[in-house]
Amino acid sequence: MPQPLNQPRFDARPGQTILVVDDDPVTRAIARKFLEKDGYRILEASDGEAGLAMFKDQAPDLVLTDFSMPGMSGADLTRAIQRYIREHYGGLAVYVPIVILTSLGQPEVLKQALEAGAVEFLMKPFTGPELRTRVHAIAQAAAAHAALLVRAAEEQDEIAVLKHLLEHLLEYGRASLPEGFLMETLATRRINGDVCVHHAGAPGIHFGLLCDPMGHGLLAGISGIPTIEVFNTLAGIGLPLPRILSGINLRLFHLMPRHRFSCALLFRLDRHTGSLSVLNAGMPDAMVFHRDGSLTRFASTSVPLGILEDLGPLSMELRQLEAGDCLFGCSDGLTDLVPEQDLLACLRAGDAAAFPGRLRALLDQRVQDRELADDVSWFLWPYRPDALGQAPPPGPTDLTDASVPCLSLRLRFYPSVQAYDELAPNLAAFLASQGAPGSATQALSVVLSEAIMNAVDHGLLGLDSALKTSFETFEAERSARLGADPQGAVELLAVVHRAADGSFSHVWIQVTDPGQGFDWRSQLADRGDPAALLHGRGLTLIRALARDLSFNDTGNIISFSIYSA
Amino acid sequence: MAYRTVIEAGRATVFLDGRISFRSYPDFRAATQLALEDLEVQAIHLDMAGVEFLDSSALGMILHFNQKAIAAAKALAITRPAPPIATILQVVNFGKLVTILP
Repeated sequence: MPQPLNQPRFDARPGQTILVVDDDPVTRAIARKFLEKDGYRILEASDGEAGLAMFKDQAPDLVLTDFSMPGMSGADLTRAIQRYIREHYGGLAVYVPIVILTSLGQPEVLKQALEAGAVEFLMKPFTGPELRTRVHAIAQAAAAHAALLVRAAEEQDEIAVLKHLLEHLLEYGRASLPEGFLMETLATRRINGDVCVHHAGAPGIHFGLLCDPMGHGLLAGISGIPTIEVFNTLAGIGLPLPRILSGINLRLFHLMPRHRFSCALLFRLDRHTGSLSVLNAGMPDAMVFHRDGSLTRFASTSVPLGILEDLGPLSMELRQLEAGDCLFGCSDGLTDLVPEQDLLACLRAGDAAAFPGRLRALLDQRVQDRELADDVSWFLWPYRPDALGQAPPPGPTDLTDASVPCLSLRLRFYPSVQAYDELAPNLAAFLASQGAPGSATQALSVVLSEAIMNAVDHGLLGLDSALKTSFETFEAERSARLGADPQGAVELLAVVHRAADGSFSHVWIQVTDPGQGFDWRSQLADRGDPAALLHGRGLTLIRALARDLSFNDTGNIISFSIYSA
Repeated sequence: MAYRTVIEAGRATVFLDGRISFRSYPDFRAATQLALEDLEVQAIHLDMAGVEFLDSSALGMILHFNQKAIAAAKALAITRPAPPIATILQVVNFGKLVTILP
């Protein structure tokens, strides 16, 4: 790597230059005679002014200067050289040791020289071997010092590059931050490994990511780059949260060393409807503070990212926000510092806009003058459905070329009075008219039928799967319960996405039933040969034919996607 | 769902058409009843060349019918499923329970 021009670095390598400034020619002659034996190039100046001029011109690696000289003293010269180095070399890794030669042993003289920036004294008169020994010792210390400076400068350069990359990756999301969205990142070192990213999707749709890679500083910051890139790309095409999380996980799994992992919190909020989805992989509980004082938690439901190639079925929490509710998420750097009860008190203490100030005061009280042990990040978003966000600015090329949601359908049906089993084939036929290929419409027809049937049979009618051991008993019970006019509706949301060329990309479906849900985790666990199952074939079909399968915690909301390929 | 049953030489072939779901159960039962009760019939084929859709309820229905066929000492087979139907049968490993013929 090329070094900056004229960058002095005294590390006792032969051929380096030593400037000797002394009005006594004998001292200069001794220095020349003995130090030239060690291969140094010797420069001589008889006073401070000449010494400073020679320093500027020749950029020596070490300066030996007399303390008492006519005109500029050794202390003055030392100050002038240090000032010149600061002004001329700026932030470069430059270290030039200055040694004061003096016959004055008074403490006041030594103090002046030290304060001026000298590193060492040599009492006159000295012998040649004594000078050589002292210069050798200074050279060793200077070499260690210079190496530290070089490493610090390199790290500064690396951090500057990383900061530039992160700023570039984050700028699109920051430019479209919704009104009232607050976030902060505090770094334990000069760069924060935690990442808080926002992405504005279709009008009213906001995606957020809070990511805490293992460790902090440069290493953690590097992990953030692929995370942000995948998040921006997949959120840009409106994929469901499980798909985004899986995408990030896969990238980290294949890209990062095995022992590194990242925790992540993803959310998606539709500001028009207040529909909030949260997916937590190893982060502290995200929370919604409801206007009525209640609290909803979103606990981690997945292992951190980068450990397993396949995260398996993901549980996505879905909630409906009301005006005045606040969504909050943070990294464990904050929860480690501030006990949850104090954090909750801080959040509830007053206006959300003043929360950063209150939290900062709390952190200052906890941290005081110590360095943070871990990066601290948080976001707070008071939900205001009536405050429309700014239109998102044009995104990077790869985002504008990506697929976008182009059509959404929201249906609510009452199974007791409607032929709900016709919904799936009708929707599949409609998608076929929108250009969906036959393979996708056939898969959708089956998967959606199964999801609707589960919602009705188990969610609305409360039928127990154990009844399926007798087909006729199950059918008779279903007919009886349907005929009893059950109350409640099943809701269906379908969002169609198109690719940049206008072709069908995928459809995302969410089916919500009013029931108590079911233990989907045990149902999705490996249950052996599906042929041997008494029930559960519907879920087997859904799992095989759909992608992005997810449930809410209780299991009464299922979502999945069907892709064109 | 539409159906047509043909019985000849000890084999009953039930031609099924359209969509088979839980609502098809009355028709399915009617379509298969004759084959099940005919003492001359030793083999029953469910011809699915015309089936466009099949869900897990329909699979349950077929399994239920298979149990009845076994009890009546008759061999049940599913024949000529179209590719999408064959995929569904394959996903749930249905071939382990009922003979599937191309």
